[in-house]
Amino acid sequence: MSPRLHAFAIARVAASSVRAALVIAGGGPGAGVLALAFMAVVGPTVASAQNLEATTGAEAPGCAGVPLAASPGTESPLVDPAKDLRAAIAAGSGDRDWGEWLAGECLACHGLHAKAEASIPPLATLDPMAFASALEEYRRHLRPDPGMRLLASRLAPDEVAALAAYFASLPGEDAADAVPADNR
Amino acid sequence: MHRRHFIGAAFAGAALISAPMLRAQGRPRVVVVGGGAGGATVARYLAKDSAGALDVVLVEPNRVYRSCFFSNLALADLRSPASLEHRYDRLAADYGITVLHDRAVAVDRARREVSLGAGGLLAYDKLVLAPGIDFVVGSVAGWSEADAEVFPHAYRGGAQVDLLRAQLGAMRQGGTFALVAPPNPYRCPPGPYERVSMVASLLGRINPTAKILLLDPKATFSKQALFEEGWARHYPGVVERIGPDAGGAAVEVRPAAGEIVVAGAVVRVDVCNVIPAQRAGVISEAAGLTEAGWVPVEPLALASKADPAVHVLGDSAAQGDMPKSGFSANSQAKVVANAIRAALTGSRAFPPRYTNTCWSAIAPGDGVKVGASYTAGEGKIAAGEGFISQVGETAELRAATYAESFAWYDAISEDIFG
Repeated sequence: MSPRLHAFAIARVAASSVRAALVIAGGGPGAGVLALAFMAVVGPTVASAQNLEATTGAEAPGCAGVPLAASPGTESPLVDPAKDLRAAIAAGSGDRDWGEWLAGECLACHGLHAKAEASIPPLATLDPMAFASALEEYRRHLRPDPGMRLLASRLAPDEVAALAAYFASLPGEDAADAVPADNR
Repeated sequence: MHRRHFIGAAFAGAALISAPMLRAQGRPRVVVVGGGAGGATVARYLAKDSAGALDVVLVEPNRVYRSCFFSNLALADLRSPASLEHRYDRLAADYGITVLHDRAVAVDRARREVSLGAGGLLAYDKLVLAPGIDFVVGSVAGWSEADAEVFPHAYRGGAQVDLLRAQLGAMRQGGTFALVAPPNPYRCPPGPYERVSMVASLLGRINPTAKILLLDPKATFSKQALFEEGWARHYPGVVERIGPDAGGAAVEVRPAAGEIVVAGAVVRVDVCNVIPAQRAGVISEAAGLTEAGWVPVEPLALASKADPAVHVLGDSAAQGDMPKSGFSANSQAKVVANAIRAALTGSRAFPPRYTNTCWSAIAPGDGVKVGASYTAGEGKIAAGEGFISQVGETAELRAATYAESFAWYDAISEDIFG
């Protein structure tokens, strides 16, 4: 097997395991109930992209008017990352180079560097743990942005750890204690 | 902005090239043709990540790139033309990319050489073609590119957009603006409909009795429900769409007379924007890689199905389900850069990840978006899950989506040009 195919195979395994990981992912008991309540109200956020363009509009699912009853704060996340992921982030044991590769997907919308007025937070200012919490909140539909929900749903815990390791390696000017300000 | 200076940094200008330009000693060379969202990104990521192990040459005729994305906002004065301009200085100075402002005119795939318009030859180990679109000759009866000074296409950014804006500004009060939309597939699926929205916004301000005629060869179009809702809300009675069942697929234009002919009826138009049917940039055809106008590519890293040494990305590629957007080209470029670097230097290869999001402005402060993830499927890039804005969203959410698109523009510009 070529290195590339091998990597691909690993990724497929990782992708299938993330769904199982989601079921058991940590977080306060209240958060889980909250997430279920949101799911009941909002329904599925994502759909086949081909169907989207075929239907466009009322039939297509989305997150219109999602009530942010418990607006996710920027200082105290509603949801903590799973314990193993927290440990990996704290230890900085994620695969930084893999994280750099994965970050390519982020960089299409998030600049690396700060722009004061930007409504999408720049990556160099992300605190790794706060970043992982935010992703978990997107994955549980506690934050409304559908694009981030989709991306978060595609990231396995080891991929989040890899991204965190990459972000931690960035020479961000005031990066150390910043958290994602954007709660969309 | 981080700065990386490489020894022997780039030079610009074709005058320095004399035929044939040999590969630098031992360093594999990647030649990238086209300095837009796809080509500039692939060049930057190749140079950045290989840290000098690759000789990266970017061939782009223009010294200043004017992005096609957001050009509709310039029509409504929501962005200045200058704010859409990008230069190649940082790609050369910070990343060590050799930027040649020249045109690639031919590819000898057997010898692995690109011919340049100024007469040089560039040898390559891997070639990336990211030339964007060209137009299908004769696709709109009565129109050729020679008519673009009268009936502009304004679909490749730059001066054509300025011309269209000037024509709209000078249009007589109560006049008619016509837009001839292209058939599938075409660059930026919401583009013509965002354009209608932005022109309607402009005219509402400077020419409130003007009308818009949208001639569409397609029965349906991207984000249709969202645009139609927005037109009814913001520009009631202004936009009339003529679909294929009413003659929208067989429009004849008469630039000299200022007329169009729809279903046998002659219609006087004051400004007419003709967006013709599209095909891969002509260099793709010169390289002998096209089928039915586009370049078939494999889904793992967009290598041509006819030649694995040539990767084709962005609008020119027939890759499957991704729309022809700047976002898609940027996403594909990172996959291509990773695969080429791995092939030429033995660096780690990662499985491909593809995404796209297209924002559209319906009115100032009213933005919508559609997006999806994509995977390397059986023989093509296949759509996975996606999302789309909804009709009836709150003004607050629309305003946030609109603001988000501006943040996206800044971020992707940094990602493309450094």
